[in-house]
Amino acid sequence: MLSDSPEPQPERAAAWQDDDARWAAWMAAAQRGDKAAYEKLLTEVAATIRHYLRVRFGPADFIDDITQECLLSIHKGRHTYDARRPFRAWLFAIVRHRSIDYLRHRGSDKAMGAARVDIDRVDPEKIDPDRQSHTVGNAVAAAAEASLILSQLSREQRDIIVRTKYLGYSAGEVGTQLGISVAAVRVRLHRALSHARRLFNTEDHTSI
Amino acid sequence: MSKLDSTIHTLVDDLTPTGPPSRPGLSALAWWLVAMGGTAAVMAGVQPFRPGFVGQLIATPRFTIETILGVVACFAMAWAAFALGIPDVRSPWRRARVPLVLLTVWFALFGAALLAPVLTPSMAGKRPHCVLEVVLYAAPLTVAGLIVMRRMLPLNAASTGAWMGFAAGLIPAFLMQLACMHEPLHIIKLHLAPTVGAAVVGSLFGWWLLRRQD
Repeated sequence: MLSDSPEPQPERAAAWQDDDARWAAWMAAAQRGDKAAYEKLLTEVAATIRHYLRVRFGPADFIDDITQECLLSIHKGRHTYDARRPFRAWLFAIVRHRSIDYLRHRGSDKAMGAARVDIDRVDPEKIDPDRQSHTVGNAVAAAAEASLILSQLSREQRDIIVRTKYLGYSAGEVGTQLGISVAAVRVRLHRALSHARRLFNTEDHTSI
Repeated sequence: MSKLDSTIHTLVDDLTPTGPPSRPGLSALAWWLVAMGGTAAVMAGVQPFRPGFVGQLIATPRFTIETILGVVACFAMAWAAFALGIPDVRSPWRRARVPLVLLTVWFALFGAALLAPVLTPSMAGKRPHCVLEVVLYAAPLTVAGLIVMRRMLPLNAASTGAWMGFAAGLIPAFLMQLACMHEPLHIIKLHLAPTVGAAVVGSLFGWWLLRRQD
């Protein structure tokens, strides 16, 4: 059911089609008021979204928050789903937009630091000590940098996202760390998130 | 129970039947017909349409084709704008390929008319503030369209507003073909170009009206 591969394997493609058909049927039932179908749909979809985000953003503490935002949007916009269309295209449009929007609006006052980070879920295989040493210097940052989305950004863009969105530093603090102005931090962050949005949008949704 | 489990239970408890899924094409058609009729009525109230435009439609096939293409392109763009209320992984540009092609052809006809005018250029029917009228008439149409779209799930507030503003601007821009003087450069500069301004205004309206959903 779940996949982190950008290229669909044949057996996975069949599983994706099965998921799509099942979710479409459950959503159609939910639109008629079937609570049991809706609960099954939201439970499966929540697990899929969490996995999708974890692969793309690493072991960040905001994964559950974004998943929750997505579930709320699915609920609010459930009447916009047409069962004649692929469910995944509808679902992942919501997930992609909500992910980037959440990161854009995530405040720096949530200064979580390393202590708030989900260290247990960091994959040691993904930590590159060399890269770690010249960025923010902790395991989560390295794992985040190895995630599917951040690994495709430039080092500068990765660094600015990790410092502000993963480690919770304010723009002023990051400016001091990097020796640049607050405005420059904001511009870099805006560009980095725009790049991340483009990466999301160019992803083939049939490979999700 | 985790936070997500709790959210799922809350949403399931809140579930009510939604009826048939949203049809952006129907919303677009209803909005476009009302917008076209209302704008034409207001424009005629401000100043009568160009004298003899009906005769020109009958007597000049190129002008007829240009007008029909304009109607089709304007409606197609309205449809594309309303379609943004339905989440889709495709970009707005990709989803609006057909309307954009139609629009490009329609605009290109005016470029071609610079070399070979469709009608004999004339000041007949000139409206002194046609450029302002296009933007002014587009604004309430944009707001009305965005209010309809609040019932859907537009994911990008400013972008959706810009598309809606552009679609709204095309309606008075099209009607100016019949209501204002017919001269290609005048049409391009004072009827069609303001639709870009309408799109900018629309993006602000979109940010204002849709951001709570964004």
